[in-house]
Amino acid sequence: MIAGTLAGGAAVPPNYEAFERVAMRLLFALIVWLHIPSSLAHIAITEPHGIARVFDLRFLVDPQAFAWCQYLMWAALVAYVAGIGWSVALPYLTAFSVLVGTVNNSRGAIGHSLQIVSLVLCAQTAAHLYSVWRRRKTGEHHRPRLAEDRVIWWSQQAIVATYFVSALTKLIRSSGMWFFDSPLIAAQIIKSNDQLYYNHLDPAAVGFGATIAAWMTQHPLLVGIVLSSGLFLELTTPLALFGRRLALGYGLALLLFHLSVHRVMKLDFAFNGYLLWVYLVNVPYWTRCVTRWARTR
Amino acid sequence: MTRIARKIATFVRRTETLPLLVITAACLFCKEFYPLSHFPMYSSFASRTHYVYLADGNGRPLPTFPTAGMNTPALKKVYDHALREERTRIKSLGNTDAAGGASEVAAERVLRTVQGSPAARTAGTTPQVLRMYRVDIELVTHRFEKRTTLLAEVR
Repeated sequence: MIAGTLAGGAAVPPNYEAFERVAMRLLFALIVWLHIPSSLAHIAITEPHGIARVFDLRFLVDPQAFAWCQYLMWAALVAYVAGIGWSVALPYLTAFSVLVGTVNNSRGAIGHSLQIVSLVLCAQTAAHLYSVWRRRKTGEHHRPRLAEDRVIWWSQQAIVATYFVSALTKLIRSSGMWFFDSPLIAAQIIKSNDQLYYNHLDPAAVGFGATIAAWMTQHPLLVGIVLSSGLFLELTTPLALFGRRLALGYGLALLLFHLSVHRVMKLDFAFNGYLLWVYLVNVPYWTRCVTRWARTR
Repeated sequence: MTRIARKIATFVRRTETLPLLVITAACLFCKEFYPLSHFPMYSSFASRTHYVYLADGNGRPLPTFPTAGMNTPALKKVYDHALREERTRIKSLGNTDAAGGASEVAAERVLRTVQGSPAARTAGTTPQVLRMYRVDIELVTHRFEKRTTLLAEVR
């Protein structure tokens, strides 16, 4: 199926129906709203990161300035869901998301939970502006549906890219020896579980990591195979772009991957999960398919 | 080779998958420049690792989040960053004798930052004596051993 799809060039970007596009807009707006913290006042910018090395972003730490930025964000989100003024709303949402993420990463510690949302916003802005540019350059008739399909298509690519990059980095940094080294992840499991305990001195987190880590050291081959299946999944994620079925399969497999990582290592990549549900799994579309199928029986 | 490149270019143009290639290349090239990242989490492993935690003057652990306004993994990253900087500073001075004390200096610097952080000011419960401990985890003959060391103490 994959070879056939690739050879045939695949039906990309796919055509989405109105109910899918509305659902995606609404859910993505919710994700954007959730990924912005209520305040940045608790953050001290000690090690400027990214664009903060060039521009002073301390104004965002001020609660009043941040509140105004949030009001503008809500207005932009309403416009986004309504499908109007995207040439203003999307660049604003992207800029705000990037600045907030940059401040969050400017305290000497770089986190990786918010990047995916900012990257999808960057992709959406680029896709929208590309459609506008094409319309002006070629004088082609304005087709909002096609332009929004492109926005969705580029969003999917941004999501896929994060997993693909992660897989490539694993292979590059381990010089291709990731499979053989991966059982040593047991030490990281002890560390991440201990760190979870020290966050709030939660007694429920004590001892869990040590039990799993001990088991892993006894079964290195099995651990290597299981973990490498995760690497294989990440490495082949671009295949998720070739058709709705593959998108569904990869979306669910990646959700399962995150669930297992969360269970064992207590690492939560909530926004990855949300975006997978919205742009790869696409529940509204499959719900309608199942409903139609059930009616015909 | 040119033919293959041309075929790939045609495929990318037809399927409009250039964003995937651009984002992938940009992330790998820039490594860390928000929102770009090469996502290095768990990309390489060693038989040893470490983390740090905060404690009061009696060595009783303190919850990291309310004390420092960040979680324990972030505190470790801040400490590691400060340690790398301190080692670079010592190296630039050519003072190799002082290299052993880099971890203590880095820890003290982080503790001072935590003491003066907006989170500590808001919480108002930071103890007068603040300590940082380092826990080293090492795989020794199929079992893990932990070693805890006091890095620094500030008042």
